[in-house]
Amino acid sequence: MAAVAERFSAALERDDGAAACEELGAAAISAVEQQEEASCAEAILRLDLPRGAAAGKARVYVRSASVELVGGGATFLNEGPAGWKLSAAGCTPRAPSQPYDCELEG
Amino acid sequence: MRRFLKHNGLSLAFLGLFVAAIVFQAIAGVAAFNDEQDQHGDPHVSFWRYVTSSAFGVAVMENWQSEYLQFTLFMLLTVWLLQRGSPESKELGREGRESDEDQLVGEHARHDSPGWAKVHGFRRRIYENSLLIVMGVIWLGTWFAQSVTGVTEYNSELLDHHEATLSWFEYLGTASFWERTLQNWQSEFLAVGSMAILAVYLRQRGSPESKPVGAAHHETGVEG
Repeated sequence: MAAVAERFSAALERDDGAAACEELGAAAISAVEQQEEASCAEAILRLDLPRGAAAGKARVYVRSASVELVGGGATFLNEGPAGWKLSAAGCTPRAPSQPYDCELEG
Repeated sequence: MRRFLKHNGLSLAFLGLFVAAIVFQAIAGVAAFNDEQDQHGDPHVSFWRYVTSSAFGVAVMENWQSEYLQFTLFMLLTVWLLQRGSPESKELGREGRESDEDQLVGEHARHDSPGWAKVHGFRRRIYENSLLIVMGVIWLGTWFAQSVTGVTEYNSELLDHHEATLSWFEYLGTASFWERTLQNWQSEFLAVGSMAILAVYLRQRGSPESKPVGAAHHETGVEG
């Protein structure tokens, strides 16, 4: 799942919105399209998300995971029939026991 | 074979009940799990995937640990604590570890006593407490297994809600861990306590867990 997070960030860096959306889960795609009122490939590039970041520490529990990105921020992923997909990106921690504050959240 | 079944009927019956119950628990569990998956829009899991998951593991271990704690505590406390009139208790005045003569150890052992009951020293001390030791080890082992499967399940839910995960040690301090633990403990302690006191006044003819039907309420430590 670290590779998924890196591919997502690398696609954003080269402005390849379609490739970035390939790494998103259905709920995240729907959320970004509703939020930006545009197609995913176009909408995803408008968000303030880390670009070209390398994956750091990954934590996996059952079918849920988080990947910290070098340079800050985190992504959350879920494993489904199509493999690991992002459910949230551009996440920064808030107070303990509070959900992360995410730029993209499905 | 018939003799084997007759001599081991009690343990075989409970083994059969256990196997049936855990199989049906797994069947009901995977159905309930997949209902939740539907609510979250997540795909169903197979039966085999579920029974090898932390969700099933924690559900089984939280029950096993409380059962073995119940037996561990019951054995320990009945050495020193009495309940007047209960068949679950020793007779009044016999609290404590009792004499070697009463316990048939050392020079008081019989020809058919277990080997380590006849010896002295470390081996006999171990054997004298073997039931408590084994029950206690199983309790601690299953409680540890509950904590490991529990933290996996807990962290999976935290990640689903985009929250930071906890270490195993941090999980031991959570309300979730203690709620799971104590909800099981309270029922075990209630069951044993109920049995100890109800058996003072109520009877079940033919069961060694009961006093003889005609035994007086104040008679302690007698079996039916």
